[in-house]
Amino acid sequence: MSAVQEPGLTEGLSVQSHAGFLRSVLRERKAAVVGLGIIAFFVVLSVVAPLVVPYSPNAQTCAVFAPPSARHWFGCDDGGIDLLSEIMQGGRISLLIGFTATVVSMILGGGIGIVSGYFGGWVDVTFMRIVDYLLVIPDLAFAMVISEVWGPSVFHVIVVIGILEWSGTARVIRAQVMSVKERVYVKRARAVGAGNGRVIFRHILPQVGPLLIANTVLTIAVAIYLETALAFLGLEDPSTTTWGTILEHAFARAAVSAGAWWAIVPDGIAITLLIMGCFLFGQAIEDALNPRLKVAHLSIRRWTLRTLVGGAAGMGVRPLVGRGPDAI
Amino acid sequence: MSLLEVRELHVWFDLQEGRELHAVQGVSFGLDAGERFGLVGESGCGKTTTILGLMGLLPPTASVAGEVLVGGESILAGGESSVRSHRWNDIAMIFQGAMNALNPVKKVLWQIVEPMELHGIADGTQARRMAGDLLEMVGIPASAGERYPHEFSGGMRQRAAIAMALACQPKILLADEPTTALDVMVQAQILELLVGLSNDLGLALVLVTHDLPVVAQVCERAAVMYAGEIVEEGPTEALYHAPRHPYTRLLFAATPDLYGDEAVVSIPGAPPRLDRAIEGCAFRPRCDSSLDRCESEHPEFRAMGAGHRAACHLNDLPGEERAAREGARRAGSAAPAATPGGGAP
Amino acid sequence: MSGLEEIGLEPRASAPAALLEVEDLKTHYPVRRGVTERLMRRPRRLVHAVDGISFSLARGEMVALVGESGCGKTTTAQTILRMVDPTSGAIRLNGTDTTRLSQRRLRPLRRRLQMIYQDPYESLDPRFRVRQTIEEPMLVHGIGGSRKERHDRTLEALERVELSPAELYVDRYPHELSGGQRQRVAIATSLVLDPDLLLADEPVSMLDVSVRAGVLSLLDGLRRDGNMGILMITHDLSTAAHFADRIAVMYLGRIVEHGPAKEVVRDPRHPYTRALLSVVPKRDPRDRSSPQILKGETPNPIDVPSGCRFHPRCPIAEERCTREDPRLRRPPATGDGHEVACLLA
Repeated sequence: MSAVQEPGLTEGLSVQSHAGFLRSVLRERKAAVVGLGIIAFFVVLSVVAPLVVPYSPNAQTCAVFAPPSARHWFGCDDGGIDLLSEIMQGGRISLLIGFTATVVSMILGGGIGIVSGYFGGWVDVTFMRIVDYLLVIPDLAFAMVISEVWGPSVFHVIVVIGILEWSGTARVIRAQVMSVKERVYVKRARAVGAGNGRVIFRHILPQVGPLLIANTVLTIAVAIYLETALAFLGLEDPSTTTWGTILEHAFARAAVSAGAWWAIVPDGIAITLLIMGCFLFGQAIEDALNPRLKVAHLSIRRWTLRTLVGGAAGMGVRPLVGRGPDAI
Repeated sequence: MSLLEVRELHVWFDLQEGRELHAVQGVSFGLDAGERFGLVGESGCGKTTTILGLMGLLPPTASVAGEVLVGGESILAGGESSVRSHRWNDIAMIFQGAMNALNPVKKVLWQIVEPMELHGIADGTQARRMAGDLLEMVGIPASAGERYPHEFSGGMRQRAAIAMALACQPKILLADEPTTALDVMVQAQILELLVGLSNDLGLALVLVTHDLPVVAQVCERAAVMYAGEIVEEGPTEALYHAPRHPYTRLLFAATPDLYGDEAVVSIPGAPPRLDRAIEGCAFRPRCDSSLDRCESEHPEFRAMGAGHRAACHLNDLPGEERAAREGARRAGSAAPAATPGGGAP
Repeated sequence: MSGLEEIGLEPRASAPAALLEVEDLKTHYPVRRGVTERLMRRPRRLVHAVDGISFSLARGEMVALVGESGCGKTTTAQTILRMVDPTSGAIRLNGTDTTRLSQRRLRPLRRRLQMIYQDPYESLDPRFRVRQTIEEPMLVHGIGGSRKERHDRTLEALERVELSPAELYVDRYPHELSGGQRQRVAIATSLVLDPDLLLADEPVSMLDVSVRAGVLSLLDGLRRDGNMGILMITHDLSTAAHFADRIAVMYLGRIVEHGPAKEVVRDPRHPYTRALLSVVPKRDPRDRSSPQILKGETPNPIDVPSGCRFHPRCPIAEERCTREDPRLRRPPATGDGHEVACLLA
């Protein structure tokens, strides 16, 4: 209920800066903290990987399919390469592919979403038909065909994921832009004489920013998933080490029949964890942006009854004497 | 014994970091069958929270204290479960913006039948017939009940919302800003309807609004709320012609009258925040005639005459001295014509 | 400065006296047709939002455009602003017909023409500090030169709207301001461009009663000292009567009565104006003159009634009213400039 509209009490309700918004998301939602923590962990690990890997990720340092031990925590793969080092190294490339592909799809999706929503008309119709087309194409099948035609390479994987993933973002951003465009302050800016560029960059982009961030984080998860899948299917350059190629190698060299679970499980956990982290964080931002999730009357909790004696004057606001019918 | 008796109603809302907002601070009033009572104040004064509180329709962050008696029976005492049996049966409400809150995919008649069935008043064809009668009563042909809300105009939707509120034959009707979003002509139609209903059915009507002239024209008695409490209560005539609280006087003076020539004034400043303690009189910082003691002493809500009560230290002064303090800005006096721009901000 | 030299437009040969002249302005929108209607090749129908209105406004004058929702008052403002393109007619600002200018050539004219919106909670970008909001128009129009100069202009504008000391407000965000303060910031945003004409769309209807007079007095002062014309769009006849020089009453896209504010209010000649005035609630509870409530609501502007468009709701309509469309004319025994579109006036 919007019964209470005290001046000065709306602080925290309206978003004044993106940093402030992110802070409040992290303060109010544990899932966001966990998600961001996981992402940060992998990012830091990837950055410092060359400095901290215990062994070379390219040279043989132990026996073929050596099980986990005190010296080799995650065991070794079919080539006698330390898996911990390999996963750390592979994470670098996987994250790089994930982030770059996401940036590509965000620029495409954000840009097209804004242009489509803001200008409308035939521009909108054209872009949205393309989006419809992309949304109904099965991602993986399409990616496989493209990789097959262009040949396996990290660059191609990035381009394929970038092209595939922007459509969903464009949809979401377009819808948001269409509603922001109708806000009175945007109309005022236009009445003042502001051009389209100014309206878009100064008034609309900041308003859709948080949604774009949420979408970016969610797209990273999808991109990493897709990269793993493509690599697993052998559509990536086999000489690069990524989380996907590690899995692919393990399967190709019969790790399963050799009982070498350690060649698959730690790598799989790393992929799952990162994707989960992205989902937790992205979803938390999206939830915080959706006011409908905060509606109180949908809650099963109820208001509470207080007794006036003792606890009531707990705030010590005003003396209760001489008020009410007794005072007549 | 009044039909509705509100005693010392308090409502608090939990805020972040253990802070509290004391939205309603000991509000008391009562009304009889067929009486029309106005609850007036500006946004944030607690008028809507008061009636939501006495209906037990508050969010989980709220806590309530005080007594609400309907026909002598305390309805809040058992918390949500005890209010529920009275809600809509004894005491119904037209919510703010109710005309926009009808279910768009259900026919209007169905929406009036629903509360009847929920409360076991009637069902089946009997309920449909009763709902049709209700529609006729609020000025909608019963056949129009077969239509959807979007086929209704704003005024018709508001009439339908009133019919919904009357579905369980309540004795008390709470109307929260029932005409705010409507045009003047439609406002007049709705007010005429509400007055007619209270006369014909003996409904006790609580009209919550920020619009003083509406209350002046519709209600016999009214209470003016400021910062969570009632600062003056009495017959509307007394409130206009002989206000005993500066806020009431200034509020009338801030309302332009169609034929009035006196300057319209504004009240400087803003209402206090209710999440911290207020010392003395809450209105003092905006008052045009405050005394030294207003700063530290909270004024008592005292009787001023027949059914007229106010909470202001000025009332302790002799009549002439009080009038002198109030200055020439008194509303209702035939002040010489002033330029429209004369009102200082 | 007239601004005409600056924007390189030739003033009309005959020097115009009026700041704004609207001549037989019509704005019609096509009704959106559904797929079936398109397939059935039903003709495209038109919303006659504004259907031939003429009025003028001089510098230093405040004209109120009054009417119920759907009467076309807001479309009139949007057409004058050229946010909506007119169907026919002329809008002359300082003698230049703006209806035939392209959006590009219109841009310098926008400086002369500023709008104040109804809802100050919506009309300010929530992410902009007061400073950024006020500086934006200067940046858009490339005025204000250096950063220092823009800063000085910003402070000056804030002082002009009585937000002082201005330093206290420049770095705040909208949510840190009260409704009245927000509306003042919105006005300051218009003032930095030195406009000739302000269009105020219900400038106080979203504000609390106690601060309305302040904002209205501010506008009143601006047009008196600032040599500005103000076109106020409002549904509130009391406010119009108090602050405007002239009132134009609109009904279904037409001006039905037009004249000096006091005269229109005290001596209304059109039956619609009379009814509208009679339903405005009075402040004094003793003054309960019986309102003349019209049945139904304003018909939609797609199917405009034949003859006088008010005749289906008119209490005094005669047979010829259904055939003859009345023009605005001065009825007998009225003051200068008082015009009514009624065959029976």
